[in-house]
Amino acid sequence: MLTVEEVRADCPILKRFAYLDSGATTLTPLPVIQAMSEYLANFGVNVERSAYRLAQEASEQWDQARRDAARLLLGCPPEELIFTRNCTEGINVVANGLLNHVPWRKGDEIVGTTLEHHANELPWMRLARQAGVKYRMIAPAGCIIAPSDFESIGPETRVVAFQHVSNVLGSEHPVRDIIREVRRRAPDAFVMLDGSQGPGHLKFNVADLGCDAYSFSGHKGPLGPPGSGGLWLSREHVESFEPLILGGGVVANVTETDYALRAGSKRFEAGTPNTPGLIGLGRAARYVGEEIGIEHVHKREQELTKYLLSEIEKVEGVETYGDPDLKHRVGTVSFNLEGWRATDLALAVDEMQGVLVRAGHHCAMPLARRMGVEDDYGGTVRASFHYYNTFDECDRLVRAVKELAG
Amino acid sequence: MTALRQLGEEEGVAWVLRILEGGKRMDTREIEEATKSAGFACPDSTARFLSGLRSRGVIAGELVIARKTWVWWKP
Repeated sequence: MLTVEEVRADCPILKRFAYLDSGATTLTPLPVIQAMSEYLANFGVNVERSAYRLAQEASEQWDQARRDAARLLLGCPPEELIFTRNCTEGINVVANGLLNHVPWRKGDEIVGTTLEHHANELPWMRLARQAGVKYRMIAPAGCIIAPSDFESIGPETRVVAFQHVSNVLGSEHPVRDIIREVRRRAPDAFVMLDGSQGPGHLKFNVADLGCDAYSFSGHKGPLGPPGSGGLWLSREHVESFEPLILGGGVVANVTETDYALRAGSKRFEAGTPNTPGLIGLGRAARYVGEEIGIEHVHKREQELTKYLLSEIEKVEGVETYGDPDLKHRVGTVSFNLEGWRATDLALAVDEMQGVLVRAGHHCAMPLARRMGVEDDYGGTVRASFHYYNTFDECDRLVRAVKELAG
Repeated sequence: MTALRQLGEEEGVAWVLRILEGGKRMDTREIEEATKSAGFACPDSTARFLSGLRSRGVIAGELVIARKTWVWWKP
């Protein structure tokens, strides 16, 4: 297992800053950068196009990246993993596919929750408009979504889209239990899970969750590069969904008037892919999944969360958000300091201690309004972790916040 | 939905420079309020937009802990 110090040595940015913004993007370790660089230098020809040996080798590396990402991040076969640019793209692929897949009826609805971020809201709002149905958000009673929160859904509910883990509150929701309840009340509903904060932070097998689709970004928990991601789609839907983008690489046949798509998940990957980025994602999956171990990432993040919460809550004027029971919490601490706009505070802790945190609504405006933090604070300040973070970095943040509290 | 018109990047820069004219020093909240009162919103969150202008040397800014904010001015 790689130690924290070894991983920190692989992330040079940590020599200059206390980086506590992994919820937005995790740092890309040097071995991942090296894998991308070596791929471009030695194999950088197009994949799945030409027959010469170098193209075959490049294609094999690309396929290996898919095998590694599927196995280590989602616990699924590679044929079920569609490569995307990010979690957002995956959700859009699904929303687009559902437009023609669902026999929409008057009175149907698409249901989300007030905890979602925009990537898991806007595509459904648009789909509802296109399909002539209603989109509504249910408001969970607490920070954790409970199965009982879905008691208002029924057979008219055709899509349920919610998150695995909250990017604002760090809540890990009991998705299996929730989906069981959704299936009981709305047996025909398609269930989409937003996994932007799941893979690389949590070890799980995607098929066990019970969802129909699961989308994630490579540049968050998995430690992959920006511009890489994946969508898991259950096999029955891989062949029946219309891809969002069409073009080269996805066809079995094209006539002068029509086309037939190839079989399998690659039918969703038209055009030349971001091959170096996806090679990087595959290498990152091995780095986080085998060389660190996702269970170690999870344990470390929980320790850091517990420590930061305990220290920052001692500062007068600090208000923290999220479930107090840390059993269901993943590496995120959101807070505000009385009298400070969240973004002013984030700029201040950078200036004072080189601590990098995100502030604002975190692409979750409805949630910020519901939390009542929009007017007074302009959102929240969010510290978010990965395995490479330290208790000393938490102390630097707390020291700066103490000073700002006066 | 907000009735505020979101300024484009260049418009936003011009707007901020205009309200800071005459050696005026304003904090983030004051700039945000002035912008809202004029019916506008910055192209980004106000502090992030101002911080970007500071990085580019368009405006200057300093942390003023006593006022619990950042103060911005034209250099």
